[in-house]
Amino acid sequence: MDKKKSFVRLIAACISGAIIGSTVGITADAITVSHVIDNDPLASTGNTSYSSGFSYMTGSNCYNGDAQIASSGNSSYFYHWVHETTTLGGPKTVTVNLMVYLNHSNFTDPSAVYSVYQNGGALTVGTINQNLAAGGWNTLSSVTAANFTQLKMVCVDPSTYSGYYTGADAVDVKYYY
Amino acid sequence: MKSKVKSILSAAAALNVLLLCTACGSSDAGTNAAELQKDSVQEVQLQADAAEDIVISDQPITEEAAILTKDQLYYRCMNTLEYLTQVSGSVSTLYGNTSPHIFEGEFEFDFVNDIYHSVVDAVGISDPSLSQTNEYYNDGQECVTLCDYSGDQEDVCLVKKDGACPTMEHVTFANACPVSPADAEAASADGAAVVTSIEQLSEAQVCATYGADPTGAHEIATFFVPQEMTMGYLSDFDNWEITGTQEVQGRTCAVVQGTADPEYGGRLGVETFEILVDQETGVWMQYEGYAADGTVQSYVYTENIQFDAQAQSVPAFTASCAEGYSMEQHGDSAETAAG
Repeated sequence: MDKKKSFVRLIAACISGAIIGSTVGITADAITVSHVIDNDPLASTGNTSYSSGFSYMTGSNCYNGDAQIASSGNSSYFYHWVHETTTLGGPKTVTVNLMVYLNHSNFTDPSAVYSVYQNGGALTVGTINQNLAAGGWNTLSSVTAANFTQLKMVCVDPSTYSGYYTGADAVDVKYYY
Repeated sequence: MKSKVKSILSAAAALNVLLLCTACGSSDAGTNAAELQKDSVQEVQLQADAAEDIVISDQPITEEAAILTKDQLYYRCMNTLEYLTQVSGSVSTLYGNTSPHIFEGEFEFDFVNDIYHSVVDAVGISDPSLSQTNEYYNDGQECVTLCDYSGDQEDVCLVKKDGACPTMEHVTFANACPVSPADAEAASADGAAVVTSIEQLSEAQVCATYGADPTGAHEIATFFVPQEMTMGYLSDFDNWEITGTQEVQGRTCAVVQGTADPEYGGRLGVETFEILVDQETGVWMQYEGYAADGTVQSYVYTENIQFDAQAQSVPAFTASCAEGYSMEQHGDSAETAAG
């Protein structure tokens, strides 16, 4: 009989309020800038998100008990997780590791696209079918690209299909350069 | 008796193909290929000797196709992009019993030259006004989505450029597929550490290509990049078994049968499932998810799938393709972020 094999999906402990956890690590070979961002509380409590079309929601399985949600199918909608800006002092090659927290049955977007800020534009990191994604932290493919001048935010763009909802909860982003 | 919502494929074909290679990784592939070829030669020699004494049956010599281990199958399904070169064909997919759409797509993908084209019809099931057709082109420098809406919404041409275009160029592959325990000794002959289980891999290695889909047709990706459903259905190895192999459109597929985790399957109305996984690439040539009464609630059906040199060439975008569409540039919203 096969041993039971399962990935333990990391569910962080609930902490009240808007959370941005940031660290910077430096080794002889690389600098790591790390941010865990959950910035979806009510607008009245202050937040560091920047969005169009998204609204606040609560959910017991959401990270810190809440998230943001938008109807998909509108190309002008987006959600940004803005973190402390790191200025790189010149174009650099950066490796981006992104984890996305998704854990609500209303998150159904079949093609939500995640990107990070890159030199005035966006670098696409990955695409997730939120309807089919496993609940919890989703570890996306690591991507490496040149021409980064600043590290400042993570973005999600809803798909073009109407009839679905795009969720934006927490992200965990690490930059290596 | 299971009833089908829609069926493109015929029922299982008889096993009649010698499989040359089923193991993962170039060195392991070579080892397994040599073993299988050796066995094949022995088989033929025995037949030749017997011919002098008895009449050889005119039935084709069959040999059971080697089957992937669960660890190998799981890794392959999570990392099909590591194995795909070119692929084309048609696919129809329904996520679950509450999905607003059936997605029907025709596609030509070239993962080597990083160019992609697809036409996907999203057919509104209970609300025809939700129907739309997306045509997608991506050459790595510019990706264009032509959205044809059935209702009053204006047809739009969405353009992304440079880094906003998903591309395989940015992806780092782990190349960490486990070897079969039967091959472990041979694989470790040079002293290298041998991985036989995904438990020996980090989550980053198993998810090395998760989300990296460059095709722009992620709504039909449950065929060619079945990562989400692989994690949802197959991450607990106790819930499923590989019950044999089946040939589908010329591909030797592992037959995976299992029971859905209630929390995951409940989203889709699925209690049990059957997946036909192409052993070479990890793509899902067919998938059905069944309710308790056996009715199909969720599926992937494929047709005319061609791989490698047999795949259809990828058509290129030209400006005339976007005539009549309202143009929108995307990927620049980051410029206007607060802070």
